[in-house]
Amino acid sequence: MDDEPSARLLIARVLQRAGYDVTPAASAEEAIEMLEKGRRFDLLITDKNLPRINGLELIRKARATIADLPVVLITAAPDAAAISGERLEAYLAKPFKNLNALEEAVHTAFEANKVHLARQEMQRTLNDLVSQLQARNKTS
Amino acid sequence: MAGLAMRLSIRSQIVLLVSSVLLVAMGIYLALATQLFTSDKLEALSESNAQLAGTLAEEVRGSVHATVDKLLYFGAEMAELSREPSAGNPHRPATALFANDPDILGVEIWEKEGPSYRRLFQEGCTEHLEPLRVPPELLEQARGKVPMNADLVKQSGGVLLQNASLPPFLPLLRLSAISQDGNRVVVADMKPSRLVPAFNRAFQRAETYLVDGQGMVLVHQDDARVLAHESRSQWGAVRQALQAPGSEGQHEFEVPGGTRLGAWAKVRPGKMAVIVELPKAETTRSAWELVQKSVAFAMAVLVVALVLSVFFARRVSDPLLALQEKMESVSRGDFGVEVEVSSGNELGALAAAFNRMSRELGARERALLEAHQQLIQSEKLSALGEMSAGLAHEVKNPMVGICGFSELGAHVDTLEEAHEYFALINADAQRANEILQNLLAFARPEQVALSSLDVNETVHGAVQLFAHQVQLGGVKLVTSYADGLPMIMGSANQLRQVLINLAMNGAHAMSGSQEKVLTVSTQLAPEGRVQILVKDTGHGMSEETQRKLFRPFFTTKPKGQGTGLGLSVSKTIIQQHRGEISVKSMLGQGTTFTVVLPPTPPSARPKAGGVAPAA
Repeated sequence: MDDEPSARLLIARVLQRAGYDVTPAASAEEAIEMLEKGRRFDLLITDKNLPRINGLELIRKARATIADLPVVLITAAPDAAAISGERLEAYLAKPFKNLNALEEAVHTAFEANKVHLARQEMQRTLNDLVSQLQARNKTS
Repeated sequence: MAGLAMRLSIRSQIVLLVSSVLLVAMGIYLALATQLFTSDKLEALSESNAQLAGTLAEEVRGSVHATVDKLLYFGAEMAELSREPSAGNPHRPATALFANDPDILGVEIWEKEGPSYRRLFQEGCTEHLEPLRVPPELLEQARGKVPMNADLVKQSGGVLLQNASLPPFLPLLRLSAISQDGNRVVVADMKPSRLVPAFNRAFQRAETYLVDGQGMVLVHQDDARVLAHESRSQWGAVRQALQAPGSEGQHEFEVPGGTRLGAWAKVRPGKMAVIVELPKAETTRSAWELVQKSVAFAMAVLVVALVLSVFFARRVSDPLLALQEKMESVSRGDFGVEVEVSSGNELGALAAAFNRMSRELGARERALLEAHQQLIQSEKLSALGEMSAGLAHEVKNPMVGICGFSELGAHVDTLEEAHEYFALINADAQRANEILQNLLAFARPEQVALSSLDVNETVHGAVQLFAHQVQLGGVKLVTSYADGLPMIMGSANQLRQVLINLAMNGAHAMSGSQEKVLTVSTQLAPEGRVQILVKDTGHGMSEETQRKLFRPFFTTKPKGQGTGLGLSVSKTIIQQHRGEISVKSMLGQGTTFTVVLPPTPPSARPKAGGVAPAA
């Protein structure tokens, strides 16, 4: 998602060449509409500074539909964005250092998401074990 | 009345003051002079009248006495001849008498016979009568009218002068003298001509005459009075002269013509009196003449004074008017003008002081302008700082395209794809360039020169600069440009600065609002002017804030976020454009700033087609 036509087109082209299926959206509203219509995505790339609904807001809304959606945030100041409390898998500064940086960011996001999911899984297993242990303690 | 004094110029006030002082002084002087003059004149006239009366009485007495002596001698001689007829020619003494005195026209001698008198002798002098065209019969007729009366002669002291005039042309006096023994009366008919010249000596307007014991006029400057046998017995001065015991005196009396001043002197023997009288008005006549001449003189002086005062007042008021004119031009803001210092007096000092003040004002104005220019520049830099984040973003966006597509171009599979990327790169490069141009134009140090501008073009340029920054805050930007607006005189940079300022303020005011719409529009205003409206839907302003809005260093923003100079600088800029900036606001409803600018005057308008309005 980027409101800048040329940036949007560039991101789409680069990622399509890398073999991804890319759906560009011209505004946060358009992206939200697609999500609400039930379309599913594996990754969200969004600019932070957008008119009306900003990037962080869009991330929150998207995760309301797809809980573990990995995100690449395009921003000049990652620190400020991090404060928002939203989990962010990767950052990207404009203008991009090179096109590889874009692909790398996407790759990083997927990897980070895998780590995130794995940690979640492990957390769940741990929680199960803890609850089983607690149940056993009660019966004995 | 105070209003009147205010309305009159200083010049008129001076003239009025001088004239009234002059008139009052003249009036007082005249009153005093008239009084003094009149009393002095009265005294002088009375005295001269009395002197004249005395002198005339003496002359009359002398003249009558001399004639009486001659007549009595003649009577004695004739009596001797009549007693002794052989002694000589009986006509010889008469002839001698006539030869001796040209005024004697005829003579009679009466001798006492018992209780009455008999005429012994009578003769008329043909030599004296002929030039007067008086026949002897006429003389006889006159004698019949005033017959000899020895008792009367005795009563009046032996000498009697009577008026025996024959109207309408012969003034005649009859002088009767009685001898010492009382037996002989000699009567002479005389012309009064010897006495008249003396009476003519009197002061021009004085009336001088001789009356007998009954108040009949005997001698007068005017023969007609004598011929008419006029009686003055009822005149105060005559009555007093005939009744008073003294020999001379003065008397003021009333006659139908007015008050007269009279002086009298008795003539003895003969019970006669000389009267000198003149209208009392004569004493005031000179005073009146003085008044008339003084008034004429005062008028002349006044006229000359007026002319001179107008001349001198102009010398005072003309420099003052020139000074006033210059002061007005200073008050219009034309500092540094000077007046000519032409004289060394107070006016010159005033002009010099004015010049000093004007020079100082000019210097201060220049210093102020300089300071203001610096202020505008610093305010601009502050605005620039505020926008820098947005501008960086603005420039970064096309850079994404340029960098990205140029890199992507290295991996193209088809020429079409390469062409597409070049076009995209070009479009982004153009955009970046445009942003930089706008930024440069804004940041460039001010050139104050105003030029003919298209309002819509100028406004659009400003909108491009702040659009992104404003939209980042979630504000919907609406623009509406009216067609066919006249060109305005202005500085595009300065106007851009004002608009950016207003837009940023508007965006700031809407940061907490539900609805965020910033409307920038241009319209035709009355009198051919153009107005630019910047309207927000923000929190609005209290009246207090609206009042203070344009004051320097007034800000509602938190510390460190605003200089408080934006609107004051904006106002100054608009005033330099001879325009107006105003604000309309309602708490909770938003604010509208209106900038009204005058159209380019016809003289400064470029020729048709010179500058095409931007689309």
